[in-house]
Amino acid sequence: MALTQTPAAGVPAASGAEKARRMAVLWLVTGGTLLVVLALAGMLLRLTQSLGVLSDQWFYALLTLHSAGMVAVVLMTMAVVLRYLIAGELPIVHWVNVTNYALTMIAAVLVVAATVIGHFGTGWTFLYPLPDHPGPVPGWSPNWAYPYLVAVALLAVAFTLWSLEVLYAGVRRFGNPGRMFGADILTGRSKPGDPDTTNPSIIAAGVMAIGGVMTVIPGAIIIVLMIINNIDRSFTINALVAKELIYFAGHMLVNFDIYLGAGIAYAVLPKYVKRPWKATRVVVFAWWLTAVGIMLPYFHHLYMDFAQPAGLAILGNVASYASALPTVVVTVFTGVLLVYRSGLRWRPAPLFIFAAFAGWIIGGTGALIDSTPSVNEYFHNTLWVPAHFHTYMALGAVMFLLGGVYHVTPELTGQELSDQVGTVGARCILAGGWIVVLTFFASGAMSIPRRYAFVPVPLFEQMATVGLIGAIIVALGILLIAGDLFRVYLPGLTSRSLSSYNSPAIAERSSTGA
Amino acid sequence: MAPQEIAGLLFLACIIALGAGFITVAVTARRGPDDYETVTHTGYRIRRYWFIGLMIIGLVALGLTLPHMPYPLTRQVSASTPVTVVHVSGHQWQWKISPSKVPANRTIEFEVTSTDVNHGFSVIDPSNNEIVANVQAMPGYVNRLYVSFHHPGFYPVRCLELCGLYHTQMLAQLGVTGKNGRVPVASGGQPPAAKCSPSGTSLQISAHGLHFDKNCLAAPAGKTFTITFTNSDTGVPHNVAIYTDSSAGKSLFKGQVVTGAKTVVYHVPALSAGTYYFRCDVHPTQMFGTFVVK
Ligand code: HEM
Ligand SMILES: [Cu+2]
Repeated sequence: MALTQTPAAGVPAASGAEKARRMAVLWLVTGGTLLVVLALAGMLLRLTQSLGVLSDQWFYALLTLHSAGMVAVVLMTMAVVLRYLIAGELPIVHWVNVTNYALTMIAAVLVVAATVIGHFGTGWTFLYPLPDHPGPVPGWSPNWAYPYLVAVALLAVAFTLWSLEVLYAGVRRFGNPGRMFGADILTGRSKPGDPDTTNPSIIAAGVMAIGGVMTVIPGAIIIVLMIINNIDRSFTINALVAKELIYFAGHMLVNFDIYLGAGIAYAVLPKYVKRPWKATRVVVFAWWLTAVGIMLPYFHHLYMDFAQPAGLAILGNVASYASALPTVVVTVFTGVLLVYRSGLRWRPAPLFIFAAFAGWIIGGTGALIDSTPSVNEYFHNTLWVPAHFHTYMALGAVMFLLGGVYHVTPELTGQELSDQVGTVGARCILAGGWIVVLTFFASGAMSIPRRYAFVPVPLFEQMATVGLIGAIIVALGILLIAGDLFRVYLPGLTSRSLSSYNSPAIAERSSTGA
Repeated sequence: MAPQEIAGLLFLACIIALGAGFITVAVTARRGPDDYETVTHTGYRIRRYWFIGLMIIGLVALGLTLPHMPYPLTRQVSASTPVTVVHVSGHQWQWKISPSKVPANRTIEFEVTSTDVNHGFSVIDPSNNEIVANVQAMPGYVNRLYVSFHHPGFYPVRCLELCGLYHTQMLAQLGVTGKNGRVPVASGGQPPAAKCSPSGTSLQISAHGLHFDKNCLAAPAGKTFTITFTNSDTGVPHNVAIYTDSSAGKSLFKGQVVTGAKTVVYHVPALSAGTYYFRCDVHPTQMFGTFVVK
């Protein structure tokens, strides 16, 4: 009963852990709401491709809102959940958490304003010089590029703060960066699972943090340049350089979305399969490879820009293939071994995590095929592209996120989410989600372009209609789960009822050695 | 088989294999618990083969596909091979393609660029609507793509890089000529000639969103007539011009170009009976139709 007791008047200021808990509740309620809205926007896009409800202007505005919003919301909520899961080892710096929340909310308002009011519709990639050159019949006023670009910049600042905070906390905890990233395990000085050694979730968070710091510099450069160009058109940017910078940052961001999920899986899955997921040498080595490998594949976004030197395209191809290895051979393979005949009960948390492995690997396979230049010539900017990234985002990253949410809910709210609702919701999301992505893949293989509200080719509308049915099933599942989430979380948000939040429990939870 | 079909089938095979694997593990997960030491003992051995196997697949895939990269590096033909150069330039929102007809079975060098934002130049096979050539059009750069077309016909051209509101309207056609130097008329991809009959001497047509609202206009033979043209695209110039045929070589009437939103009345001299062609001279690849005089 301690969990629901109401603190008496004059309670002492909340402890760091209690503050972290409240912030996590706030993040998840906000993130959950935004995810529902953005998923419905996605459904509306497919609805338009099927039945033509939106004008082109609205289609592109919502496309931009849906995609920029999804990438950002998934990024920030995943970062928060993972950060919370390792908070027992690395205490959270409260003001950073609050600042990030504020920055993210301001960014959200700016993006909504730019797209819904201003019809800013460049797609989330805002390729130079389109934001400032909407064309002879402008879909938006170039002035709406400012809020959009500023929003992207604010998000970059938020993720960088998160990254610096993780690195700061990790180095404080382990004394030096090497031990945070498992150097002592790699050299054999410590054994995996020894007290005071790192764990896979911390390594994953740390590698993402390094990535975050690496990304902000090119990201900031291009945003500042584009803002200057917006102010004064006579200041021009080289279009190739601009595209390289945008895609470097964009590629990193969507990768963070999925790799943060691995960090969540490390912390969650062992609790259900009752088997340890330790930072073994192979795991450490895989993450070190990822830290480097995550930065090189992005050249594959510019395969069809022959102006990019062919050597970089080949590098992009090799790096794309190679970057799959740590995931396929180590992370997901180990995750599957962990589940294999473990006597596990399929509660929502492990179910979502396991489903995420499938989405990640299968979406990744679609990506690998497309990262072959001679195939890319036929798939570039067709629906194959949304197909593969929805597979590892919607059916991978978001599944990791939900797995994490189901797992931490009792800690955060003192209540369980309903297993029954979770299981039914998961089935809807998976069944509908796979319909959505398979129709995207099939359309891509038929050369149907992406970002078209309508294409006059046979089967376009039929595919969109089947996809729409999938999207409706997904929406039902999401609404079910969101309803349950709000039931459990909203009271936690408004009352200060959950006073006994004890850090030992977190410490136990985040040491994945089980 | 077209490359996208090979890739699609390969992917389908991967989904089935991976899906079967995941489902099997999911279904049997309840059994056990098996001792994890034993599981990893076998598991790590399998992992080694899995790793080696994937390395081999990756290397073979690189070896097989890298020589087919679409770049001048691998596609450029020897200096002695005859090449037809086609200049392609993208604008918001139309393509300028010259020449717009190329011979079949000959290496075509597309030199693709843009005058404003990024566009994506793609050529579609009219027989199955699949992409046969694809390259970005980037301002400040010229991308060179080498391809050859084996079947004469009209190949639709589409934009594949989001370039603003009328991105989906950036349509054009590339004619691929056969041995007789002509594009076969019956080939797919060409819009069927529209039919309509005259009713009076006051014709009306309007332009909206880089489209005419009609694909057929008709006037009585031997009588002067008027065309009331409403251009409702604010800030965009359009006109209506009549030509003897779709090659637009010989014009019968050229309406003055007006910038929208604006309405003009064109006075057109009498024409003799026949089936002609009309278009907007500013957007010839998107705005055109049949002009019937009888
Ligand atoms: C409820 C499930 C979802 C549905 C029904 C949906 C639907 C769509 C549709 C129809 C498009 C337009 C595709 C095109 O023609 O180019 C799209 C684009 C996109 N979606 Fe989703 N989506 C869903 C979930 C997600 C999630 C979870 C994410 C990311 C975490 C995401 C990220 C994106 C991105 C990045 C784009 C590309 C936008 C662009 O081209 O700039 N979507 N989605
Ligand atoms: Cu375009």
